[in-house]
Amino acid sequence: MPLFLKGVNWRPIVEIFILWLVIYRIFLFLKGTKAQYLLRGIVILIVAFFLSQKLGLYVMSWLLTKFFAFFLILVAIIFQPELREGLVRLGRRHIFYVEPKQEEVERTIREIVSATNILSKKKIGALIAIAREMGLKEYIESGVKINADVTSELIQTIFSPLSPLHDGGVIIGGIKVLSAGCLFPLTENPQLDRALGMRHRAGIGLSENSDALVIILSEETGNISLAINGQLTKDLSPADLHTILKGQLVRVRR
Amino acid sequence: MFNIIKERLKDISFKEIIWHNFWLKVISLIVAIITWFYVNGELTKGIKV
Repeated sequence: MPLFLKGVNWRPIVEIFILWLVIYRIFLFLKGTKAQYLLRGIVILIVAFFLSQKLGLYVMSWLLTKFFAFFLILVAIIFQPELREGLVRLGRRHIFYVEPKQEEVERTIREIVSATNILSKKKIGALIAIAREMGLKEYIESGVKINADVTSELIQTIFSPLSPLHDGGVIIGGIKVLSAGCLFPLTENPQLDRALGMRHRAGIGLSENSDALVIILSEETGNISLAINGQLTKDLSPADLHTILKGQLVRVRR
Repeated sequence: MFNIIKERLKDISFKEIIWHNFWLKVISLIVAIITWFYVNGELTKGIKV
């Protein structure tokens, strides 16, 4: 054991650190999903339980214990798909997962912006989602899996009006086009501009339900919009889009 | 291999590591501490019995 640790009980620190990492990962996984509201409930329950124990409120503590056990079973049933996805992700990433190099991410951004620029000039509608921390598995599976390197030509081909996949959205993960012709959930935000079409509503809907960045190209005007966390930024220039994507995607540390 | 690690370390911004999702980190730390103290208390009680 190192000399500076002699006489110091380091085990609690290590245990709390491991616990913190696990809890933080769970929070990060649930952030931005519908389950985050449930998570708030769990945190409130834990804090209330701890306080009732410390204050000697034994009836409250007993009730909370019983309720918590029931609550956990309920959570396991309701969030079974999310839990399964979480366990799969836990096994798949973080240990052997190699992050794409920053140069590759920057090249991918350039390809996306180039495709967006060309499609915008030709007034061809497009819907491109860039996945970040949250998995978009259910949306990826609603389309046709591609799993190819992102190139401007590939994106243009997918959205060309004669392509069978041009109607849905494209999902990009890392440096790959994962899937095309995907179905995105429509937003139910009543405050949105009534003039917005289905493509915009689908883009905003996906950004509300995940942490993905969604680029929307209007068929009528060729305008470029970007949806992040349910917020739509309209009329972006290719240079603006490049700057925002770079800021959002390049070297985001957790 | 060593060069790759060195390169990656050079790119890391510690400021960003701390401030990114700062409140999520703080809340998870609080929950972790509460959980540890609770479990530790329960285990100590068990040992005493």
